[in-house]
Amino acid sequence: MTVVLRLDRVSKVFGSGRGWFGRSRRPDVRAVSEVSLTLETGGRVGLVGESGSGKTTTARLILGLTRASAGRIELAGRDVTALTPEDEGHIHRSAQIVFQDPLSSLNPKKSVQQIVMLPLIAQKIGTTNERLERVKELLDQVGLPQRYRNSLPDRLSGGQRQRVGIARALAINPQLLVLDEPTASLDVSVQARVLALLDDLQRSLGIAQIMVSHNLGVIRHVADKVAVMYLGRIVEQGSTAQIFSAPAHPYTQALFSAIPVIDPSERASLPQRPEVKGEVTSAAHIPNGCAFHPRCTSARAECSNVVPQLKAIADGHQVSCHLYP
Amino acid sequence: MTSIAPSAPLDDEPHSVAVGLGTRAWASLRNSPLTVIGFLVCLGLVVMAAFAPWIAPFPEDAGAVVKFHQRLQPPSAEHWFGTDLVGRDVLSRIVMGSRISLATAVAVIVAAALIGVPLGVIAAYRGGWTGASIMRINEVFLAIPSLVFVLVVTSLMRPSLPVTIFAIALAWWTWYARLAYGEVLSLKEEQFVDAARTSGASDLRIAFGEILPNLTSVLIVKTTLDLGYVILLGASLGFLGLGPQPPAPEWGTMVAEGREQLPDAWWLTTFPGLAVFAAVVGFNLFGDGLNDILGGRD
Repeated sequence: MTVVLRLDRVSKVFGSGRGWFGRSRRPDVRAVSEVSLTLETGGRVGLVGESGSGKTTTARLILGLTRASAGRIELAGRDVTALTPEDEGHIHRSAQIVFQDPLSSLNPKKSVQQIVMLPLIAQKIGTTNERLERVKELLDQVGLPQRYRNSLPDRLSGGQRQRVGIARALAINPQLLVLDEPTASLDVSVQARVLALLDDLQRSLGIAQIMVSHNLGVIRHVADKVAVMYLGRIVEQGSTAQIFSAPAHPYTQALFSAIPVIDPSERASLPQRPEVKGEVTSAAHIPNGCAFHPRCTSARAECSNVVPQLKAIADGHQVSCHLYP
Repeated sequence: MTSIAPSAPLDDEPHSVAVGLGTRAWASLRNSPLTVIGFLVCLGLVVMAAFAPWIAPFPEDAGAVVKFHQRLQPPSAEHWFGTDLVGRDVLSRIVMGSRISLATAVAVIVAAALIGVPLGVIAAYRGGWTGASIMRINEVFLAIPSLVFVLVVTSLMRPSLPVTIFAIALAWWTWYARLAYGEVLSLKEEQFVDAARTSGASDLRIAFGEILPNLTSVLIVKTTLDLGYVILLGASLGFLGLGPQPPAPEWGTMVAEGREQLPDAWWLTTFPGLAVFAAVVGFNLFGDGLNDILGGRD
């Protein structure tokens, strides 16, 4: 298995810079702190966390849409941390993204064909005829009837739009597909079909996928590895089976207890509900020590002083929590 | 490569019944007779300008013709809008003059948009120092009232039609730059811009190939509304003697020439004035209507 993506202690700080007379205008926002992640060909990682946990910023870092403040990003065998024009070219040839909002991510003035063809045109791949042929093939692949080729995005349904987004992402045969909550804005029945499509693509093309989501159900369905993020840090990672059967971090446990159940008896099949206090802390004021300690019921003295490091508690299962010595 | 059987049930069907531009336009027009009036006035003006020599009863009156035997005649069956000091048919001059007004307005707006839109797009897309510099220069131009600005520019040169066009365009590009700036500023936050970037599109392609097409509606509305305003400004310059010089049948110039004959020969000022009025109101109403049809903002 070749490694497609390796993040090594990657951080992103959104600085407000210095205002006039050298005063800082606003506190810096640590969106992502020392995130390490490895993804192999055909692997599927789920990145879970609430809003503001840094999962979308992580996705943007991988795609070169924003520059890392520290750490190292390696994509398809090349260190792209510096984000030179050559690095950007390499990223665009290797990684593509499917966005959360399929309408906003499709140019309202461009037809389906123009949208799907853009990566081919921008990267000067193939002749006009080859590109048209490729578009046809891609639409078949994502299950969008050819008759929509000349439609504008506002004439499509949510599910159809997302299929266009997926077709565009596949156009250049990427090695890595970043899926930023690709089903969050879709109806449940449509979600299932889009997820089935992603499954199918993964099986047939073997593209590595990173799924960013706050929806644990979706993650469980698509991912073979899960990383849970809280305020910019990965607090727990492991195989999907490990995370779902034995969540170790109090935050992960709390996340599971937040899954809505229809039948109360289902609750019993989920891990016990630990209490969570308070609100999500802002990434502009990350607490000292473990970022989760103000909300954690098991917090001890050291939790407010010492930042816990990721430690293995089982093969491939890592957690950053002082409760696990 | 596998493909999903196209016969598989397909997502949800498009939720809203797609309403085409044609349907929307028709509905708007039916609800708004003013738009129709505006459109007809504009259409009339364009037709008048296009076929002026065939529509004007005495097309030769546009130039330096002298017909003293019929000078200062009030409106009659032969001369609907009367005749001027040297006996030229006022209606003919107004019809021929529509060419000057319309050509000026179109030339000004094309020039202003060609200068302003790219600058606004670049300023908003690049931001930073480039954007700030462009917008500050823009504000300097904007700070001077356009009539004053145009007066200064024209008075520095010999008054003529090209000078008028040049001067107004120089004052007008700022509006296009600001319009494009504001639109692009919000459009560039759309996800399709990020999508284009991850697709590997260059900044040039993103700014002008992806974002710019989304400005067409607002630009169409803006140019339509502006046609009226530029005709008004052109006429004002003509009135002040800084536009095309007599004997050119420029509407503002005609009003200025007829001014000394008030109140007796009222037709010399009234009809060219009404022509300006009709053009401004026509383009305004039509522009407003277009705004509704194209789904623009108020």
